[in-house]
Amino acid sequence: MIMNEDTDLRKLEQLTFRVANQDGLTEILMGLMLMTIGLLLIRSIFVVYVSLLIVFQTIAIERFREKYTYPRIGRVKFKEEQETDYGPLWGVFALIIFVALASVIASIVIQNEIIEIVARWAPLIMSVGLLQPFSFLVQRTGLKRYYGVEAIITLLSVVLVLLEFSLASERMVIYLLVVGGSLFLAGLIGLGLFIRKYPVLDVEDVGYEQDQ
Amino acid sequence: MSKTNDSGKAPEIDKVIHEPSRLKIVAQLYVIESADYPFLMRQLGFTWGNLSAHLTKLEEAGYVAIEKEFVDKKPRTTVSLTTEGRAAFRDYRNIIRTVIGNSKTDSD
Repeated sequence: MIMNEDTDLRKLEQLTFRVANQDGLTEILMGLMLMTIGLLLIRSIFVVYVSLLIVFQTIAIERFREKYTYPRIGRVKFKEEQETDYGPLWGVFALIIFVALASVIASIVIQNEIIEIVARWAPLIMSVGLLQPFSFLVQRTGLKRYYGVEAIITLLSVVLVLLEFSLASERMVIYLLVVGGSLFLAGLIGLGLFIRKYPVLDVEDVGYEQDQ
Repeated sequence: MSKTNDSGKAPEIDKVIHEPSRLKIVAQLYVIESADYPFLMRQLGFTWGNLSAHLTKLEEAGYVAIEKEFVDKKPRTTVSLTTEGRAAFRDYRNIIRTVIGNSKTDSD
């Protein structure tokens, strides 16, 4: 490990981020969110679940990690500027996602040619928007494979745009359920592997007693 | 402490940080805000005793802050780099760069 190079510190930072987030929880929550938004387009009752996910996700993540992640790999706190790395691109991301979802929802209630066209292309618009979170993950983890995931998602959206559906919302529901479901499944597999790989440590107790 | 020698001699390397195990600890803490003992042990491949010994030396030098607390009746020890520790690591990196730069020039 050569410590006199900035790149090595960057790699160390990325490795630390990967180790701290290998429990699959990020993928599980991202998948759950996309699937719930998809279901929201079918039944409006799911707006409750989307709201609950948004409001309680931070508490839920922390509770889960307290019980399953920290006892296995310990806890790490990243620098404040790393945790709140919200640049203008996140604003563009939110806007793109809003346009994609709003056009699909509007196409259900309003008969308008322009809205219909935007709603048809909504999965592709959403894929473009998802480039930001995936770029963020590449930057934080150093793993270029997230670009591959983004490429597959974009390809899926292109296929869906080319296929004919009676309603634009059906196209979007399939897109969100497939992408969300895949992420959710990947997260669950990651979690399973994580629990299997790392048994619960009790070193803190042992070490504390040794120190006394 | 690491200081540049005014008489033009080779700069003084901080021996507290220069030790390989402590260099690993300081570098790890430099890229984060804080971590607990289990995380550092796993990440660096140290035993509790080894980590504890090196952290004590770093704490004595004022480079790390060690916070012990009880959460749900369980002990938790959190380690972070102090402002002095961050500055010392930056100085150390600059000196190593200078030394390597000089040695490259010498061999040319």
